[in-house]
Amino acid sequence: MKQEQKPGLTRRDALKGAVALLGGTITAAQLGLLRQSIAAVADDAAPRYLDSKQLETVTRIVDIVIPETDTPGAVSAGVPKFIDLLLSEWASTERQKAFIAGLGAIDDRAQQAGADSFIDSDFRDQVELLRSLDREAFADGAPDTFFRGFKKLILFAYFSSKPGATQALRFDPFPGNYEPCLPLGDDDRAWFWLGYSYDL
Amino acid sequence: MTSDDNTVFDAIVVGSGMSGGWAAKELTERGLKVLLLERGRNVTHRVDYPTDGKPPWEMPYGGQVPEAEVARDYPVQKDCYAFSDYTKHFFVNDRENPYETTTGNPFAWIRGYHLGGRSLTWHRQSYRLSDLDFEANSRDGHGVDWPIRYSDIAPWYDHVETFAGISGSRENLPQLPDGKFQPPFQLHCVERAMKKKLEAAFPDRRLIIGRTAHLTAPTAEQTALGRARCMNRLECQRGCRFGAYFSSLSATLPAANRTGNLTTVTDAVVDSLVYDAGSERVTGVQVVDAHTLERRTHRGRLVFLCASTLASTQILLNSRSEQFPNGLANGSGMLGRNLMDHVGGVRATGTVPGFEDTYEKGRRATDLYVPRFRNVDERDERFLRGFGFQGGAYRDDWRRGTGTAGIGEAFKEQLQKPGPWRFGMSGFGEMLPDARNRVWLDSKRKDRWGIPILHIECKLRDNEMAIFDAMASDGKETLEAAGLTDVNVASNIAPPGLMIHEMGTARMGHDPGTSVLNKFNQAHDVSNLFVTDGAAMTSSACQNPSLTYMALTARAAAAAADMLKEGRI
Repeated sequence: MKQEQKPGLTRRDALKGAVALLGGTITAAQLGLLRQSIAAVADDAAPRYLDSKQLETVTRIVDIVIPETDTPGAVSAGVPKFIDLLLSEWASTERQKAFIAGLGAIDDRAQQAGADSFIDSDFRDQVELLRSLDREAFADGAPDTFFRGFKKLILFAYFSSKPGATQALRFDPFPGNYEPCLPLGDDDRAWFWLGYSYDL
Repeated sequence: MTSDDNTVFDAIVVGSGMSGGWAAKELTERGLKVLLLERGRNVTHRVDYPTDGKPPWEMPYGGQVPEAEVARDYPVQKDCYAFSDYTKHFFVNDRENPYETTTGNPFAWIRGYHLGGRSLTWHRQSYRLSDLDFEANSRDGHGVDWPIRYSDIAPWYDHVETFAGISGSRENLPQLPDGKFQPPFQLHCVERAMKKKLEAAFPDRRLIIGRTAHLTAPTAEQTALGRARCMNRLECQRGCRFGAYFSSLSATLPAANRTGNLTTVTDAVVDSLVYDAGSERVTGVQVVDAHTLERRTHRGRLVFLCASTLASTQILLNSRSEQFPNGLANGSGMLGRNLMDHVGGVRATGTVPGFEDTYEKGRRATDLYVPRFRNVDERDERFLRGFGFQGGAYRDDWRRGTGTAGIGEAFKEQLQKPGPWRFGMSGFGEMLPDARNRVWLDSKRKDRWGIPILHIECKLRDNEMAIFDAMASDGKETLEAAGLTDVNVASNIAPPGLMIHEMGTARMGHDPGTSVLNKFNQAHDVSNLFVTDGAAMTSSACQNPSLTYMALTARAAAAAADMLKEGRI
């Protein structure tokens, strides 16, 4: 169920959002990260399942949830395209529908706040809206929300990516020995492990 | 191999998993010409482990099986903890391998139909039974008495442990006898601190390193078979290129092959055994080619059924004759009855305060074990038999982010660091033998190979539910005594089958009137027929049973070879 194509996120749009995230000033190093981020977004391959505006929305959301820092963020780790791939080839019809409906509901929330859609709203409002959704999702006794599942998908997609597992975290394909009780040390990143299986 | 093959093998072994591999090894090493039949496809050690060593970013969906495929092909298998896109090729397609259950009594039949069977995907925990277990039935009157005692099987535990390679620590526990161990994996200092507190509070509750079928110091014999030391990857169920954990493919089948006495035929679905009323013996095995559906008969002087508990039972039930209208070797009426698994579904977790400065390297290939402590010295009024716990310590990782609030830079940086030390453990409880828990053949439905499908009716009853409750309360008490905070117990009763320790449907016993097999796993009614997989188990104990299947198989194979040589069968 491929949807109608719309123009992709432009370099300028991405830069606008990223600069806002950095508080309006950027250093040369940050600009380098920014370039990676934009390169990943502007990957010419057309999305498989999402339309381009939906992909833009997903890209912005994952960038806010897992931003670029001194390690790659979700965008440069390829999370938006991976989520698009999962929706296209991995997800059940029910999950596909729920995902599109969930993105729509996020747009509805942005509209209630006066914007045309989530992606068209001010960057700071986007962050604030996601913070609200996150608070609601993890409040005591909260029902299962779309955002809760979406966040789980983002974290899975990011930390199981090569940049997520090997740069944000540490990954040891061949430990050799098991060495207990080591001091945590200067490199205090956690080890990556997926577990036996991971329920999304 | 075709139907006009007139070879008469000394022995036919049905099934190539945990038990079948041992039968093939022990029989061929005693000079017998053996035909090993496997219903599934061939799997070549190392070559056919396509996901071994692959990080998730090299998997199409990060290790996830497409949801529609899970719903269509794996609605039962998906509930196994080890099922994923990394391992799905070692699980059966449920659509192609149907069985039935009675409404309201689900049974999770987790299977792997391929050379090596579930020895490729097992959890490798290897514990001896003791006389507390072998005497249990006679003590409380449930089931029939085991026809063997610990002293009968102890040398065979030695034998299989030495060959397989079991790492573990000596503990001098009467309810969990020590074995021939390779060096144990180490406890983390967090676990050592817990152990000290727990054993001070409850001297009978021991926290010991798991006994696991991993090489930590390979012997010359193991090295010669191409096996190497464990690399602590903890990706075992994908298959291990190092052969570091015991499987048929890494260990027993290579040993059998080097004798020159083994013929292995895959894609050979056994329909039934051929019985000759005149001689009162089985003369061969009726096979259906898995792909062409062509039928043929293989002939052998003796038969070892090692197809797994329920599959061996299905084959016997489907081997009907005038003498045995209710299934071969079923003079007792006990074939298909007394189905057991372990009681599961209790998981206790908690936070270990402190130790923030310590971490670890490597993914240890075993957890810890809390051996049975109930009904060992003192009688517990709430239930018969007992249970153990398996678990370990770990620092929370990125996965904790899916259950907590937070987005953005600070959230990301928090998830990059290890979280608090945690400890989690799961209960494994004994299930009583009960003739009402049983399987039979459906008279109307057949599978694609023309074999009547199995109907499984198995229910957890009062004693099992009392054990379930006790595992929950003892789990909490145990972790609190070990110094943990925020102890939480998740109690979601596992359907029978899901512990993947199904057993008991062709039990051993003294009396041909109440049991199917004698003390050498030999059918009371058919002298050249042996069943040495989980079907033979007279009681379930609470230990992981594979090591006992191995020892029973090796013991039975030695006895059968002797009987054959002496002309007694």
